[in-house]
Amino acid sequence: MKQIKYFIESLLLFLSVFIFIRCADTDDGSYVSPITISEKTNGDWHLLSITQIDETAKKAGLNPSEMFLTDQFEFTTFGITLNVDVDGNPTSYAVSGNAPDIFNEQGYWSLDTDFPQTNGTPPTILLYGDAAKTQQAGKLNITSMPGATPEMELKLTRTSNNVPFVSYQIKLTKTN
Amino acid sequence: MKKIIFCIIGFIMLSVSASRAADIIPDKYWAVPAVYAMDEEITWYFDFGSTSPSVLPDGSPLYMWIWAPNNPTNDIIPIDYEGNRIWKITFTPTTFFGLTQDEIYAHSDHAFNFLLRSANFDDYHTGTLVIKTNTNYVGDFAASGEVWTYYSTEDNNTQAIPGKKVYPASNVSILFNANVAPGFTDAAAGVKGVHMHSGYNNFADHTIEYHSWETTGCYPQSACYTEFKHLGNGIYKKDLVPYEYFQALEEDEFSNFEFLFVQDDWSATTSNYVVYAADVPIPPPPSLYFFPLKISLNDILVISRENNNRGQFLSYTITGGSKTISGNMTGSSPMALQRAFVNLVEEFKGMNISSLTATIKDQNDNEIYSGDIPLVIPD
Repeated sequence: MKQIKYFIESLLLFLSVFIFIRCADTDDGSYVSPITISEKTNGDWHLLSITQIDETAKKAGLNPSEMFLTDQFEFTTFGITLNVDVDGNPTSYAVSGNAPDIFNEQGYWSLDTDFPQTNGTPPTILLYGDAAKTQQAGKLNITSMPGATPEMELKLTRTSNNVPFVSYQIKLTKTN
Repeated sequence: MKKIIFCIIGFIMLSVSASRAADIIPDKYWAVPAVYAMDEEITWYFDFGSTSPSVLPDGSPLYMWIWAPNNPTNDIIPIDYEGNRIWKITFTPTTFFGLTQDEIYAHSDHAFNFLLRSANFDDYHTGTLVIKTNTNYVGDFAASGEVWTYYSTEDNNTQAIPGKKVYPASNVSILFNANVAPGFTDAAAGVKGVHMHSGYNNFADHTIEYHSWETTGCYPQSACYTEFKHLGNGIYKKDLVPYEYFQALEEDEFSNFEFLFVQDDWSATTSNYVVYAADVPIPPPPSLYFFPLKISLNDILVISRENNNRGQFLSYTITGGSKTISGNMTGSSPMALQRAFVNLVEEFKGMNISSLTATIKDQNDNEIYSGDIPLVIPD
């Protein structure tokens, strides 16, 4: 008789646990696309600072290898707008302000990768002179991606025979 | 007993002679001019400020006994009292010794060896001095190929060895080699003279300009006053005491004197040079650089010059193709750094040129730099 009682108690305990398990409804969520680089980078950006880098001097270990240009000419007025279409794909860009034209004032842009690369290679904004994006007019490496702080750093590098000789490190803050 | 007395007398004599040997050594002695050719008249000064007047009374007769390179008179030679416990003797080494310059320099002692002795022949005092002659400062300078140098007698206060420290009252000798100064051909040939156009403290005070048109008399700024002495073979020398030459007071601020060498009638000039006061650290030499090392027409050119002279303000001129631009170089501390940022993108945009020509001058039209900046064509 005692054994039957233990059996019934164990059965009730098992059933009570089973009932709770059955009540839990697993929520697998709905599908959300990962955030692309163009989502992070599109919009209006304004210059925080700009530094010119002498790549030849830097490689040779000579000083000075950097020159702070922010307070020269009208670099503080520099702004750039990176436009996207309804699907978030890069379209055109336009530079505003009266800063020296270190690259084309307007044109079209794309990205060499939609997502950050795992090998650490900085994603690159490719600049074009035509809407079909066949005439590349320059490229800007994204050396610091916007995150919690709406700031981004771009690096424009000029090369001669594929050897970098000068670059511009441009720090921007998002204004819209 | 006789032997003992003889020994005592001998001992006393030795003691006296030993004590005499170091009795009168001047605190310092120097030559004017600081640097001299052996056929120039020189004056040696002997300062006995610390010697007891009981040993050498003020103005008492003092004699020189010289034995190297020779003794020209075979006797002691009287030297003069200058005052303020300073004695002096003036002579021209070649005529004094009856030797040529080369013979003096070649003498095995390589020194003027002499002793000074006081007048009292019963209880005289002596001190031996050696003035080295193994350095031919003028000859060495001529052989160095340098455009100029200077010496002062202030580096070593106990021996007459020329050095580089300069105080307002220092005896300074400036040497100039017209043979290696561009444009000074006539001075090198001895056809024209050389003058000093100069001023205290980077020309800020007490300027002594070279007024080539003032040829009558010898007063500050006249052709005579500013003229260098021709030592021969295109080597020139000027001897001066800064505060006297610049008509200043000895206590006036003296951080340097700046000057340039000028051939007669301004027919040639050198760059500016500076002799710094002994207590003023010599600034590092000026440094001019262009940034970046390689540049294209799409970039910003930065021209920098560090360690500028006091009161020097620079400007630049850049020519590319048919266009010339110019501007001033600026800096919050102009002596430390003056800089110009040039927007090549805007100034020379679209031009088909492979280089720029840059010229940098100061406000007195002195050329600091003139040269080409090659342009890189970006990929």
